Amino acid sequence: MTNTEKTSPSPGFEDTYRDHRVALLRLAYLLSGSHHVSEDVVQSVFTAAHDRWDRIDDPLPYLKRAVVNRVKDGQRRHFRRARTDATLDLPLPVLPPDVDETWELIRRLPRTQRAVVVLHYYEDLALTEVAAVLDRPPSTVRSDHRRALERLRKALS
Amino acid sequence: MTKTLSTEEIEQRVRHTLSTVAATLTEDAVGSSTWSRGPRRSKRRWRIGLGIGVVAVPLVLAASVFVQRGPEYVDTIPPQDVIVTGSVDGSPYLLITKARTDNCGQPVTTVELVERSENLLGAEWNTIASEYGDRDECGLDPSRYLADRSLSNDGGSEVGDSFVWTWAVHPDVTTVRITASDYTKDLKVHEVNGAGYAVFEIPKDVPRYTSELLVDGEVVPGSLQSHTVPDE
Repeated sequence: MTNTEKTSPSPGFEDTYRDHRVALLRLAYLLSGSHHVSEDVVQSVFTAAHDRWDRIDDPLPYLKRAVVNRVKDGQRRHFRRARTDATLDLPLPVLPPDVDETWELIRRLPRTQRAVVVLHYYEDLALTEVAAVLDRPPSTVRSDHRRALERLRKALS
Repeated sequence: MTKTLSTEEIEQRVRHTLSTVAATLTEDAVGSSTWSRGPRRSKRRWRIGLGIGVVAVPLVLAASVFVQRGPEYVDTIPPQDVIVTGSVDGSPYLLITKARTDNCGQPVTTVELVERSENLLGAEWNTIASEYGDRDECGLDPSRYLADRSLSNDGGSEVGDSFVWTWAVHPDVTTVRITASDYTKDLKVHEVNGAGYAVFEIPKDVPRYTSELLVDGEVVPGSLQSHTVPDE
C-alpha cells in the first residue's frame, strides 16, 4: 500500500468523524476530567481506526470502547508522567453555575468507579454492558457502582 | 441538620451533572470537525526523564520508562523473546525483548514490560520500555552507566490491582534487594544485551520500600533508593 492510499480517508470515515467526534470528546472528558487527555484520546482513536476502517463493522461502539480504553491508558501514562511534568494538563473549563459539587465528587471517584458511573448514567449502558466495555466481571461492576453511589451519598449528604 | 439523599436523588444529580458538563463541549468549543490525521503524539510526550534514579529519590518512582506504542500491532511473542512472565491479581504480564528501530533508523533490541490485557492481539503495542543508559539523539548511551555500577533506571506500570516495577542495572549486578518494614525480597537479575533487568511485583500492602543493588551478595555503595508506591 502506498503512503497516499493509506492517508486517504475511507468512505464513511469522515462522516463518522464529523458526526461523532464531539460526543466522543464528551465521553472522554467525563472519564478523564481533562480536555488535554480527551482531545489526545479521541484523535488517537480516530487515527488508529482510520488505518483499519474497512475492517470495523460497527464504528460507534468500537470507537466508544476504544475511547474508554485509551482514557485508561492515558491515565496510566499520566500517572507516570505526573511525576516529571505536573503542569501538563490544561486548566479546568468554566462550568455552568448549575454544576454543583457533584461534578467534583465524580471527578474524585477512583477511576474504575468513575468509568462505571459515566457509562451507566451518561451513556445509559446497563451495568452488564458496562462490565463488557470495562472487561470486568458484572458482579465487580455492580460492586463498583454501589461503592461509587455510597461515596457520593456520603459526600453529598 | 444533614439530609441523607436517596439513591434516586443521587442518580438524578449524577445524570444532570454529567449531561451538563458534557454539554459544555460544543462544536464551537472543540474546534474543527474536519478529519486531519495531524501529527501523532511526539514520542517525547510519552517519555519519562532519564537518570533520576542515580541518587535516592523519595517519592519518585518512574525514573526511566517510556511507553512504546504502535505503529505495529500486537502479534505473537516468540518464546525466545520472553525474559520473565508473571501475574498480578490475575492479570498476566511479561518482560520481553523486542526489536525496535532507534531514532536514527538503526535496529535496536529493547526490553519491555507487556501487560497482556493492554496488548491484545491486533491492538497497537502498549508497553513500557526499560532502558539502561543515557538517552542521546539516536537512542541510549550506556557508557556513563557502565562506568558506575550504582547507576540504574527503574520504572513500571500498574498491573492488575498493583504495580510491576522493573530495574535496568549494570551487568555486574546480580541482585536487586527490596526492603520494606517487615519484608525483604531479592530479585533475580536477568542479563540481556549487556545490561541486567529485574522485575518486582509490588505487594498491595507495601506502601514504601527501598531498593539496593548487589554484586555477588555485596551491596553496591550509593545504590540505595527509596520508593513510595502511589495510590491507584
